Amino acid sequence: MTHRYDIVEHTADTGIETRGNTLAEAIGNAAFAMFDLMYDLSLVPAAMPVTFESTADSPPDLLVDVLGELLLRSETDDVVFSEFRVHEAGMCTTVEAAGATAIGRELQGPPIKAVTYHRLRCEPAGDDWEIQVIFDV
Amino acid sequence: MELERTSDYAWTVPRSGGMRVPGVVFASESLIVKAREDRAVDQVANVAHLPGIVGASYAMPDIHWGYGFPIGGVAATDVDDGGVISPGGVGFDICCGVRLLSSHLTGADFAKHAHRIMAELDARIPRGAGKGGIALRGLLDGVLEHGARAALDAGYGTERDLERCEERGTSAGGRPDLVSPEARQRGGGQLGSLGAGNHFLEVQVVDRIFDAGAAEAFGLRPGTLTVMIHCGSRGLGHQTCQDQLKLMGPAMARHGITVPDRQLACVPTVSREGQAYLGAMATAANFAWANRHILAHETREAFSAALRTAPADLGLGLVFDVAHNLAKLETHLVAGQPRNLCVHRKGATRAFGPGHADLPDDLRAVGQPVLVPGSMGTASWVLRGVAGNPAFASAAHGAGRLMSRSAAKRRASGRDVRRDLETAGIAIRPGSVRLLAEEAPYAYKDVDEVARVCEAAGLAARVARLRPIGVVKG
Repeated sequence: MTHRYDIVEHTADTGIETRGNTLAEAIGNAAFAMFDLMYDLSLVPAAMPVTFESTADSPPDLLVDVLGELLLRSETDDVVFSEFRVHEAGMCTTVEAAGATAIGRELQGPPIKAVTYHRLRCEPAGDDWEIQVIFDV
Repeated sequence: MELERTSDYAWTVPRSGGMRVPGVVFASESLIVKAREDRAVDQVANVAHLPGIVGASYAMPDIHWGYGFPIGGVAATDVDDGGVISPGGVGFDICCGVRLLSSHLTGADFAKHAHRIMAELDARIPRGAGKGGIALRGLLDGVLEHGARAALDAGYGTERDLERCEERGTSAGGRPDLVSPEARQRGGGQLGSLGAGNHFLEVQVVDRIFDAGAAEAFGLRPGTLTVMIHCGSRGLGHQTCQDQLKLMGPAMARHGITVPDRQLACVPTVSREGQAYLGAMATAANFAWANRHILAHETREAFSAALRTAPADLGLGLVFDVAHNLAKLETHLVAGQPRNLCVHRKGATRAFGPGHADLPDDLRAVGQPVLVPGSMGTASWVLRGVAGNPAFASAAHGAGRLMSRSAAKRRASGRDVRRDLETAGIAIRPGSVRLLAEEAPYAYKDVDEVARVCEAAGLAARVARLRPIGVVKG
């Protein structure tokens, strides 16, 4: 998959829209988009693997939880994630992410501060799952 | 969204649906155009749904589309009558704000030593994403408890810096125990850092004086140098807001509150959850006050090293430090009666008028300095609070974005923006050249018009215009 997300124009911040055949794939694409907004991921090797679990009451909350955890780990460990494998079953996910150090890496977009609930969508759309998320930058 | 012009500089969003009060946008004809185009006015109407809101849902002249609240949004809720507190009315960058230093130096001094000054600032001011701060991680606990006072006790800045800081650099009611280990981990290595995006440190020259008496009281003289620092609570604040929002959704349901946008999640201010948010917010604010305090100290050190002069001889004194993302418990008159209000200012600056008890003694007769940063290629403004402010003592916080980040990047590259700034005589030290494109001067509204409208609408009065000559960007 080469085109994994579209940018949603926003005056102060930045948003993305993405899809996936499953909720897990759509969340993985949203995670890719979040880091691709900040760094050129074609230059980031998939080393430094991490695995974590998230649970939530609804798909939008699950999405916010996963993206929030990735942001937290990125900032505290100075790592840019570039590959994502998400496994989901009943609002419980296991996320495997991998990337490389952020130190010395040039930003191509402003750092994302947080994942907002504004205009948040994470829902089935036909046979796919569709996501829209606005990031605070 | 319908807008009715009610005066030369005020536009009303009439009550409809679940709006408890009308919306009021302070703008001129030219400034209202963009607000109409994006979703900012819809957000003014959404904020008007908050339980306990009084007066109106206000928006300042730099209004633009945010998340939850519009940027430039002001909402006051009656604490004693079910009024809510909403983390969306503060934002993720809790207590983001602006600090201005004045000096004895002149534009000619800068021109003579520009390379050395900019090189020292470039080397000493941490910026960009992730870790990297001037202060040691061991200072964090003290800062969360005592704000800028803890930084002063550790050897940063001066006692006078605290006197010229909103809340004297320490927010009351902080609850460090409510700041999560994740937030501490995220912000722990960032104390004394700018961040990126629209945050900056700018060397400026006082370009024009509009109110000589107030300018003198603020220490601003024509042709002298100022330094403006714009940043907030970094990852500690961002994570604190994210943590609190997660708790706020279920709590809101327990209190039977519904809002038109999840980012407006709120609970009664007096509730257990509301008090917990206030405590966590105040703690994150303490990080922000200390962050700007430490950066100001390092700025003095940078100038001192560049000019080989003792910091005390540079006169880099604090004019004022203001927050523009914060909720505060304040007393205001509503229908002639004093009421305890929770005033949310999301991208708006507190602007107390002359005589207010919370102002420093030497500024009380003049009114509070209101700092309005512009874009890095145009100007910034110093205003002062005035009597009779119609929006719970609030004014603009900046120029306000005009253009999305994508649109700005399509117009020119970071290299082009850098070249244009240097051609205009502005020295620039970017953390990332590519990011300059999104922050180009044309991506922002006309800050001179924003300042003019603040004055015309009775929000604040113009004191001085500051022109940038050196910019350090994240």
